[in-house]
Formats: sequence, structure tokens, C-alpha cells
Amino acid sequence: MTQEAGGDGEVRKDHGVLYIGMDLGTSRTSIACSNGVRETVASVVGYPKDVVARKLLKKDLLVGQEAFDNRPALDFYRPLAHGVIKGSDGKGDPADAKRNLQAARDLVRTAIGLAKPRKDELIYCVIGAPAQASIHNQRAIIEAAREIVDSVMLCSEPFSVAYGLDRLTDVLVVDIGAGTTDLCRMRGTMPAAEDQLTNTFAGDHIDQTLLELTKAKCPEGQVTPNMVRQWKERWASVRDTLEPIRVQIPVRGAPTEVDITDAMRTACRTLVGPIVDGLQELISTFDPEFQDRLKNNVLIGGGGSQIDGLGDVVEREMRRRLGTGRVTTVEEPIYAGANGALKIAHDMPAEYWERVR
Amino acid sequence: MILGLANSLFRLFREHSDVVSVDKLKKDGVRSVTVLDWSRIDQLIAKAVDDALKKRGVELPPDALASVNQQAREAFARLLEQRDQWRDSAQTLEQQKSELEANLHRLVAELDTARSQLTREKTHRVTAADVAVSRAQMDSFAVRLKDGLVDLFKDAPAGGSPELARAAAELAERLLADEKARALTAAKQDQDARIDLLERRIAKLNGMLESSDRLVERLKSAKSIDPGIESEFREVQGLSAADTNAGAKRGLLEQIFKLNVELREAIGKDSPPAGGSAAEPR
Repeated sequence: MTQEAGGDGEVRKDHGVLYIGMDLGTSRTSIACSNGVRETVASVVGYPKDVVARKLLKKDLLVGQEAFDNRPALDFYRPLAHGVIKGSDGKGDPADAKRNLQAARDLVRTAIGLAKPRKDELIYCVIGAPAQASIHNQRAIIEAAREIVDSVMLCSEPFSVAYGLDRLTDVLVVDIGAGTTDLCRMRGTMPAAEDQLTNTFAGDHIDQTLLELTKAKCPEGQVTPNMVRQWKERWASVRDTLEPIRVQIPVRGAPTEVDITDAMRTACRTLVGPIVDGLQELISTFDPEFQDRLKNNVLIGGGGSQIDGLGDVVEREMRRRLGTGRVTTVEEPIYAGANGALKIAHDMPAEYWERVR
Repeated sequence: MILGLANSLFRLFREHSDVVSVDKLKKDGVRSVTVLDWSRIDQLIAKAVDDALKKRGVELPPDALASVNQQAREAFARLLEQRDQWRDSAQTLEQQKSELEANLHRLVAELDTARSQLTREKTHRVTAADVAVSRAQMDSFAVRLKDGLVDLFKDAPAGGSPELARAAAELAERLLADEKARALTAAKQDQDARIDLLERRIAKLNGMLESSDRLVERLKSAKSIDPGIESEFREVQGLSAADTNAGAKRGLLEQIFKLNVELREAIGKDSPPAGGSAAEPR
């Protein structure tokens, strides 16, 4: 999008500047904007399967909950997996990779549209993208955004969380998403490759483990990944003592109550070990004089930080393995990344925005 | 006065707010919400006034300052209301525009049909050859013929005469010609009525089209009303020099910028992405 000079039918972009911060996640995409809009949408995209479905839905593209609700009538995509666009690693079916890339573009475009921008305002956007996103991924994200915004920049997700909270020095940020858990060591400069670690023990891993444990407990029950995800969003906890969690599972058509308390705790706790492993690695390779500062400055964000008691259990494990540890969780897990990206967009000098247009 | 204004602002804020259930907030991971009460808004307005005056080196006595603050609060309330009105107007105009576009298409189609019908009627005037005699007309003709013949033959001798037969034939022809003439006149009257109706319809449609055109012009002139939500900022901001971490942040922002420049250069060298046109997955 370019700034138009005026004239017949053209819009002059001289009314103001709209900043958009976006957290593009595997499970959900959130935006925070300088016009007060804050929106979050599930990172799923659907296209009507055929003419009948298109006529019924009256749309060519459905995103978020609307796509979820109509998925039997759609070619349904969850374009991001393990923090990157599916198939972008060159493995697998190239046609499928192409479709996922397009779905990711449509997701980015839709998310920006949710900001309800005015036509006569400049739109500057910072997108918190997965740290390990390939150049193909980044290109797709930038190109999708540039169709709507005047200038766009990418930055790593954990960094934007830290920037948003003004925690730039001697902090370890743990961003637990659906596909990956990203760990990032902040030392007052842009995190380098050695400052960042990623593992796949994240939300999707919990879902898979919980699904397997539930099936083991109730072999004849019909359980879907979506059902498990909903249970996790409602009851996820790592605490030693929990209120019993009882769910209804259809067994040969009859709803049957199953207690999944232990399964939930076990599934959620699968994240703790790998997180502390990552923290240990990042701490042990840091200046020994400042290691204690890092240990006492761990910040957990992302959707996974909503797991009840996670901060306490990670802290306990850190004390056991590293002697000390202090963990805090972000106040707004869904918007922490987007808020940070918005702050970066706001602070970025005008000349930088101009030069990346 | 102050209480009235506070109530009015409170009402405006309520009207401008979205209702979100606690369950939805929990689901979105919100653990705490920021509450902005009236006294805080009041303080913010007072601070904004104070800052603006200080910036301009103006010092006011307390009474005058209180008065300026009051005016600022009232202006704030007016702006909120104005914004609401503008948004309503924009929505109404958008709705009108959609309706108008649909209406324009319908009008143009209807006008085309009426015009071609009129052309057809005018170029093909009804003639005797087009007139078909209806069953009712035939019945009426038969009755009159029968009456005429009865009248003709009432004093005739048995067996008749050639004159009588000729007179009967003439009677039948005359009556048939009368009937045809009557049918033709009726058909011509029908066609005239159709032409009249079509001309009046076309005139009405033309009138509607003209008023629609005027509305389109009005909508075009009201185009500056944007349904989007206005940003807080009129100009590009940038890092504040007063920021506690300004030095470190400036360096970080520069690094983000450089990484993005490098990324664009790499993208420029890279082959096109695997993704295709927007229509591909469909």
C-alpha cells in the first residue's frame, strides 16, 4: 500500500498514524492497536469446499471461530505448526505447503482488518513472528501485511513480550505457545541465536498427551483433539492437589463420566522438565557473575502461562536443580506479545518506518 | 453542573463500552482489568489542560484554571458525542449506499425493459390482421346475425328468392365487418392504453433514476466520513527522550530496523514464495 498524493478518488493519508502490534501464534493471533482495538482470533482459516457451501456460507473466506464452527463445509487450515507455516521446510506435499502459505496470508490480512483502520491514516505494523520462522515464512507474512499496511516490521515473539513489559536486561522470557515453547535470554541487546531456544513441548503436546491418557483410561470412549483442547483451556493445572476434573465422553453413544484429574496434571507437567532444561542451558552459558540475576528473573508468557500453578512448579524445579529461581507470569497472556509489538511500533523512529516501506 | 456533566460523561462511556462477560475474559486469559473511574478521567483532563498551558508558558489564577478545566471537560463530552454521531452517520450512509446501488441496478433494468416494450408497441401498430375475434364476440355476432335473418325472413314466401338470399349474404357481411371494426377499435384502444402506461412508467423511472443519481452525488460528497476507528496519534511518535530506558531501547530499535532491512534484502534475492494467488486454496 502506498501513500496517495490526493486527487480524484484518492485518499490522502494525512489524518493520523495507526500503530498495530500483532502476535501471530500457532493457536491464536492477537492484535493491539493505537485506536484502542484489541482483538484475538483463532489461527484457523477455511474456504468453502464447493459451490453449495459457498452459497450457504455467503463467503469465500472464514477465519477464527467462524471457520471452526463451519469446518465440515470447509477446506480447513491451521496454517501454523510448531511456530512456522506448515510445509515451509520443503518437506511434504508442495501443493499443501502452498495452500498453508496462502491461508497464513489470509489470516494476517484478516487480523489487520480487525483493527478497523481509517482509510486516511498511515498504518505501521510490527508483527511478533516465531523466532525460527524461515525466510519463506517471513516473506509470506510481510507480503500479506503490506497489502493493507503502509509499513511493516517483524520481530521475535519473546523479544516483543519483554519489550512490552520493559524487562530488557537479565531476564529469561519463556513464551509457551501452542506449537512451541520459546525461551529467550534478554541482556539489553537484541537476542542472538545463542540467546534463544525452542522446543515443541507446548500446548499441542499437552493436548496429544491428554488425548492418549484419556483414551488409555477410557478405551471405548470417543475423544477428539478439539474436545481435549477445550478441557485444557478450562482446567489446565500442574498443582499437586486439584479439584476433581470430570468430563462427559460418549461411549457407544452414551455420555459417560470420566475423571481426568491425574491425566490433566500429568499432561500439563510434561512442559516443566523441558522448560527447566532450557532455562538451565541459557543460564549455564551466561556470565557466571550474572547467572543468579537470570535465575531470579524468569518471565512466563504465552497461552501456556495460563496453566494453573505453572510458575510455582517451574520455580520449585529450578530451586531443586539450580539452587534458586523466581518466576513471574505475565498479566495478560493473550495480549502480552501484541502489546509489546505495539510498543515497538510506537517507539520506532519515523525515518525507519519510511525506509522499510 | 459538575454532577450533571459527570452523569452525562458516565452515560456516554457506558454507551461507548462493549459488554464482555467475565467468562469470556477468563477464556481470553485476562486475569485483571484496568478500571478507569470518573475521578481519574477528571484528573487526566485537568493534567492535559495544565500541561498545555505550561507548554505555552501560561499561568492562570486558580479560578480561571478551574473554568478552563470545566470547559475542557465539556469539550471532551461534546467530542465523545460528536464521534458517536459521526459513526452513526457513517453507518447510515454506508447502508444507504448499498441500498442505492441495488436499487440503481433494478431501476436501470426496469427502464430498459419498459423502453424496449414501448419501441415494440410504437413500431408495430395494431392492424385488422392482428385482430383476433374472441369467442364472446363470435357469440354476439351469431345472435345479431340470427336476429337479422329472422327479421329478413319473417314475411318471405316459403322457398325464398334469389334477392332474399343476396340480402341475407349482405347482412352477414355487414355484421361481420362491423364486428371486425369493433374488435380493431378495441385493440387499438388497448395498445394506446399500453403505450400511455409505458410512457408514464418510463417518465417515473427516469425521475427515480435522477433522484438516485442525486443521492449518489451526495454520498460521494460525504465520502470523507470513514467508518474506521481513529488512532490516538496524529503524527508518527518515536521513542520518548523521557523514557527510563531510552538509550538501550534506541539501540534495540535500531537493531530491529537493521534486521528488517537485511530481511528485505534477503527476500529480494530469494526466489518467489511457494504461495500463489488468493484464489488458489479455494
